[in-house]
Amino acid sequence: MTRKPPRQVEHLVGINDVRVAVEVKPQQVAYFFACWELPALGWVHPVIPDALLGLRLPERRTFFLEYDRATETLPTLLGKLRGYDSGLSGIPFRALLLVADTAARLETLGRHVRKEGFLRRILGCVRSELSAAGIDAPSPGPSSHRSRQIFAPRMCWMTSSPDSCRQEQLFHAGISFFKELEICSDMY
Amino acid sequence: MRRSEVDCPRQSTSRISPRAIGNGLVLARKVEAVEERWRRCTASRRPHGKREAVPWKVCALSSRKSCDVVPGSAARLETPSLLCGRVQNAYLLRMRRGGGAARPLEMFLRIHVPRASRHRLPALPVSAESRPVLRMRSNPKIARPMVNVRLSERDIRVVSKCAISKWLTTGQLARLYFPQVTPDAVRKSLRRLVEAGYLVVHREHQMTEALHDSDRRVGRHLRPKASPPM
Repeated sequence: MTRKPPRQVEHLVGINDVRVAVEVKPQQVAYFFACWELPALGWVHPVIPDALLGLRLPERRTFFLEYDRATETLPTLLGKLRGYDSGLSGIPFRALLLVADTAARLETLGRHVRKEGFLRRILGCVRSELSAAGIDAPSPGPSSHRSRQIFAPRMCWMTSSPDSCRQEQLFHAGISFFKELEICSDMY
Repeated sequence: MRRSEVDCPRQSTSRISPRAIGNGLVLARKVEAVEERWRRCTASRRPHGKREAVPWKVCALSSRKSCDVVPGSAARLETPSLLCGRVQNAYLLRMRRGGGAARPLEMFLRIHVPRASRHRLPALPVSAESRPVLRMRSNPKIARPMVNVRLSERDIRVVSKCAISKWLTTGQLARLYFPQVTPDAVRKSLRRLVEAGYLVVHREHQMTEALHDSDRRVGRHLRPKASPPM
């Protein structure tokens, strides 16, 4: 029997790439619902994320996922991010994970996110690197020593409090491959 | 029982029995009568290798004479010719034979119709009509009852994951369920599921990875019902 995949199959495969990167270690995955599964959950919110992700770290934490293939314009994407920023009623989420196809696109997005000044935390990474390394792999550091110092313990660089630094490390536990989008432009 | 045994009694090989001393003449006449009857019985048999004689009722006609002019023969049925009905310029079919115009040339042609009659087999799928039976294996819809595959737990997981995730590439399935397996073994395992009808595969061209999805009927049973995360 021959069945053809939908037209936006690249977008679908990209979301599944993130799913595979997450589910390779199934013990920390509570759930992963892609956008085509959300209607079955009774999703009523106007913003529909590309995926809804729950991790046990060890307590359950919810993340939203957006996969950007650079097919949308930047204003459209930023409008969607503003929708996340205003909050989805009844769904407390930890951060928005933004996956881009290329490093250049991620850098562009990071610049615009920094300019907009979102309240919610937005973490980003490149799809191919995420597939190769996994979601909880140590973040790929830049080649220069200075950048590595800036990036590695971000909060330690921003604040001098050791408690805050520990909290930040806990925040990044399980999703350590994702970087803060504000400093992604320093990375790439 | 042979024909000779029916018509003719079994006879001895010697012409005159050595015991025929007293009434030997009578015996010799009897033997001759039996021989004559035997000759009559076997006279209609044609010798080996020769064509059978034409039956006496069939009249041999010359090429000039039509069967209509032969007295005593049945009248020819004047039905419209099949060929004349199909061909527009029927006069082209007329040919001269000897002096005058003759009838249009007609002959029976054997036409081979390769497909089976579908009216008698309404349940027969269209793709199997004009093909040999083995070709049916290529059609998973037809071949499903024939293919018997034992599914392992991993196979069920693969099919379930495809049912949830819609389209998964070979590499994605290999990363999830075949971590220590060579790519050839992964492809072989997936191909087995495709041939059994559990998965469907799509490949845009040879340079792209194959995309796998579960068959809709299978996926309907394997897809778990989603529960709200919160």
